[in-house]
Amino acid sequence: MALLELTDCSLTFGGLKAVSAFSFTLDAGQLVGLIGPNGAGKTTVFNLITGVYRPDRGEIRMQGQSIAGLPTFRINRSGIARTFQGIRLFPNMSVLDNVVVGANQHIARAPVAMLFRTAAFARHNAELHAQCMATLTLLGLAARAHEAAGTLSYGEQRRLEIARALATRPKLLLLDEPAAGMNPQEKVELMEQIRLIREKLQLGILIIEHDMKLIMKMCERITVLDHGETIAVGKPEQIQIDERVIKAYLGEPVAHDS
Amino acid sequence: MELLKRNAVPLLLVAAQWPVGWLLSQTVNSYYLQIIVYIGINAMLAVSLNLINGITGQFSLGHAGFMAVGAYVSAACSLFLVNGWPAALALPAILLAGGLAAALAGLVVGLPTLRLRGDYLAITTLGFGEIIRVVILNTAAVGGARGLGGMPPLSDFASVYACTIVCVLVIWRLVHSPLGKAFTAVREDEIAAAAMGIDTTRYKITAFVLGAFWAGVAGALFAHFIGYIHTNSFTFLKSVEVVVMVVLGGMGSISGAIIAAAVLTVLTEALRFLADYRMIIYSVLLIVMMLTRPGGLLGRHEITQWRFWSSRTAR
Repeated sequence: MALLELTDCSLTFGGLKAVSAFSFTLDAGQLVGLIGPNGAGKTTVFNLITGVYRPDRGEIRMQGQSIAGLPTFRINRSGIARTFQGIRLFPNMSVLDNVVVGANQHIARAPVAMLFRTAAFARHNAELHAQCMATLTLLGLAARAHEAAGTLSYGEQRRLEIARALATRPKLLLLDEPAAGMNPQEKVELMEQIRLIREKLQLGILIIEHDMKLIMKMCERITVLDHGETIAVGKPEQIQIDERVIKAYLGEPVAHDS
Repeated sequence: MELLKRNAVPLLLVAAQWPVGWLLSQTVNSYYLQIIVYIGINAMLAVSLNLINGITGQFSLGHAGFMAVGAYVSAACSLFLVNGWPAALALPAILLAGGLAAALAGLVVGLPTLRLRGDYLAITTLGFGEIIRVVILNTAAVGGARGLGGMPPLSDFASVYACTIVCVLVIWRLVHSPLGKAFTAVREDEIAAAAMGIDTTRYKITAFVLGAFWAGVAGALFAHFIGYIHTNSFTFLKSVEVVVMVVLGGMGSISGAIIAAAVLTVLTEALRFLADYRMIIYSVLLIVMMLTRPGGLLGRHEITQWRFWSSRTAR
């Protein structure tokens, strides 16, 4: 059974077809790329999956369960975590606290223990702290755990977004341009970290990215969107030579008449 | 044993009420004692509003309304229901009645309005506060425009002091627990918080209901300290006063709210000789404050975080 399955999803804003008849599947452990020119509807697909928008038509299933139209937090609890294209951390909270908030749904709700700071409460806290630090270590942020998230560099903030998403213990991770604004060195590190995460946690990953080198190197399969429509699906090497994809990115060849 | 050690500070603080109370009764007259009690009541109001406004980031302007609900329900309770009970039983009963009634009001107001943001939420909560006041003003059973008097003096320095400690303790431990960090996350970025699996509506309502509860308890203490209540004590200006305490102390700082509550309560009394001119000084002070320390006295920090003392950039 597919981990994530979108069937024939459409969404229009007024007269604009943001996404039309989008069908897509992703199996557990797969790493799939979603690319396309600016305004193609990639982030809109993410917003459909995570419940920011509700599809006008079509069905979205996570492990066979329909999730279309559920509130965002429920969709996250069904096992889908995301990062944001425009960074959305909790800037005034510490790096560690950002991850703790990500783990919120896995913290025991015990008001009495919390109020009296019982031994069980302290033990749970220590466990949680260790888990969150481990997640930060995975993304190379452990040394900055007690700094305010807003003071991190751009690349570090992007990595913290991934760490926070991982703390929700997802089965599927949606990465929205994780390498945007990173320098080449940081991009190489990021690729290594994503590979490690995937190996260690057996996650399905869907990634939007404009860096073609990164996409072609990492993804097993790529879906190309243009004007809300799927124009190509296939392995990286097929996508690279697909005529419609080249046309969408570079435009029509100019006809020389004279 | 370990449990005792972890709770030593609050236990010692609560136990301190007897020596402190005795000392005060020996040294200060009843006027100063009254000011100290008001500091406690205002601190409870400021800290509970801080949970809603400062920590969860929802702008409520109706705290006087919740205080009024607590004051009137507890007063009605002590006059008509627990009349004649020994004080040791009647006091917890009226505090709980006032707090729960205000919490219920918080739930009723919060459920429909918390989907609003910023200015809109402020206006609706302001409207709610006024509605409560006008409804009470027109309810003959609780005295209407004559006010309500004759409540037994159930609350005194000791009970206000103990309630303040418990109120601060509950809110402090809640927002500093791993689960409670979600309150701050809702303030920082609601969309991101929801994407991390946090039921943001539930957290906002919890903050609202808990904040209203403690405002209700503060109202109950107030009503049974002075023995007479009138809707004039719970006008829009009272709500603004509490908001000023929260802003002055630093949005999100619990210790800041307590300090600001103490400073403003004392200041209002100290400037009484200037009659109406004191409002000018009051406003000048606020303007200077906002110009020099726009984040409030303690910013987002707590007095326990010592780096506040060394860095001037605490915001």
